[in-house]
Amino acid sequence: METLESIRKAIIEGQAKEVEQQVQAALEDGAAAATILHEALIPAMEEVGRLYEEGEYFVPEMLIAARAMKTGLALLKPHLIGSDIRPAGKVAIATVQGDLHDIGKNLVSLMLEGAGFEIIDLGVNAEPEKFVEAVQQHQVDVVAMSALLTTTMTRMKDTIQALEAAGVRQQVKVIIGGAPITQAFADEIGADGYAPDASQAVTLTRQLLAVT
Amino acid sequence: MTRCFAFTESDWLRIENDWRAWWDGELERPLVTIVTRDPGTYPEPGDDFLTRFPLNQPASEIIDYFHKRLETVHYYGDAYPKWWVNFGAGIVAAFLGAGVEYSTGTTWFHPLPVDSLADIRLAYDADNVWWRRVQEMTCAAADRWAGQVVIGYTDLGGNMDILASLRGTQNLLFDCIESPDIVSELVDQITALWLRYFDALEALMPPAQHGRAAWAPPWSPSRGYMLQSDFSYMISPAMFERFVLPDLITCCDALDYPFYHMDGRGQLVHLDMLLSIEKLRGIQWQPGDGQPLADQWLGILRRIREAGKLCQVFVTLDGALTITRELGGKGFLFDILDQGRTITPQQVDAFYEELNRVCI
Repeated sequence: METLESIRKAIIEGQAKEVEQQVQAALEDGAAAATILHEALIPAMEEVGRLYEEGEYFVPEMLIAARAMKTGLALLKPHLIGSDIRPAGKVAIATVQGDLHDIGKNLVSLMLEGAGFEIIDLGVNAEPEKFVEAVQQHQVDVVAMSALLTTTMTRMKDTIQALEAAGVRQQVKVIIGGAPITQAFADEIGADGYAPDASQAVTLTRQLLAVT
Repeated sequence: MTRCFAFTESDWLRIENDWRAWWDGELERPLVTIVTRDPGTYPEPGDDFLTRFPLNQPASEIIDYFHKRLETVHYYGDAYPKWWVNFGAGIVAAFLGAGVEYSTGTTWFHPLPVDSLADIRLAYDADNVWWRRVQEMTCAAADRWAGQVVIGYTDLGGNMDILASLRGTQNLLFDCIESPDIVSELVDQITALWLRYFDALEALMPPAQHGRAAWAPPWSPSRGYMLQSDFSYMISPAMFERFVLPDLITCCDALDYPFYHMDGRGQLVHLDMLLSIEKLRGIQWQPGDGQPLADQWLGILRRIREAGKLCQVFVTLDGALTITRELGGKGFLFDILDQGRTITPQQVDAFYEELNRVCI
């Protein structure tokens, strides 16, 4: 379908207004919201992730594409709610306590949303208890933590311990990321996975939840 | 090993001669700076930040505190006594109106309350509380330590980093695509202001002071600075060329000993452009937290040296020896990491013995 290709292209180019017009047109033409989501929005963000991993896109291009995707998603949401379409999973995400950096967290959040996951964004400087609360209240599948500082990355371990203490650790997968984070650190603190960038965070989340 | 306040004129003469020779490409060995402390006196993270002291606390009291701290420091090799005016990275953002918060061992800046980039107005404000405090602390340090300790310039920050603090990083990332002309215009204004602040701080340096320094390890005979643009980690070479390079060139033209702090793998895509800046004297390669240390990046170090630039890295004693063996030590400045706080005088002696053997 030509409109779906136009939506896909507009997202990749970060043209939010174009995405809005094309999604509206597709809906008016009778296209199912789920079709637009799965055949235009999600593939577009996969392509953006690929372009980023290959060094063709950088953070601004990725952000602007993700914002365009969100514009389209906002139009689809009312239609998706009434349908049988369920999110690929629910992710509670935040930058850990003591850390106010949010770009990495926002990028992961947007990429996951673009891949069909529902996001509970807990913001920055999030205490371990905030993650516990999110798991208890929203029945999330994944807890995603970000840190940019060596001084704050230790809070990730505290958060995992808080999840354990609250008896909810086994209900969720825990993923972590951020400049100082490594796979070794993830193993050390008992996280289920580590992703070096936003695109790979999507791949990791899909793997952990066995989402195809 | 020499203690801070035991540095003699002869020690300073040695520092000046060796560092000048290094800058001029005439020193055949690497420079090595090793700084240790008396056991039990290592500071906690964030201890150096002046933003943690109340603004109304007398500067002399703060200097007293740091004087005691300096008494515990030992300098080996090419290290020299230094105290720099640490208000956090990119304090110019605060001079231009950004909010300042000290927490969790660092200084955070809060953006200006503006709706769009075009609403940002930048102007020199002689009465800005942070600018006044930086000058006050610089003068207080100069009064106390002139000739004994190099008073390092405050960390003014990189031009795009300052704009990111004022605008909010994510907003600026969008602006780079949506309002590139305004970004360029504001960066030009920040550069002009940056130079004004730098010149004003330079004027506060005491005549008796031996050379210049800032937060980074390099010592220089006169106007030297570690330029930076951490924001560049996130942008393409095309954006770097448009928004960062022109201002780096302007700053290099205004300094005698400009260096560039290249922080993180994301900046490697800009290395060729950095190396093309004729007046840039050297590159500090900082692979970033979580990454292998600099001695594991020999290809990058080789590119820097082959382009005729000096190179500064943070390495262990073994790492310094590795680089020297593989690439030769000439043109390198090794600032030795002592994260375990375990370096002993005996280890330093053994290191120098091996370094001398490798350098011959």
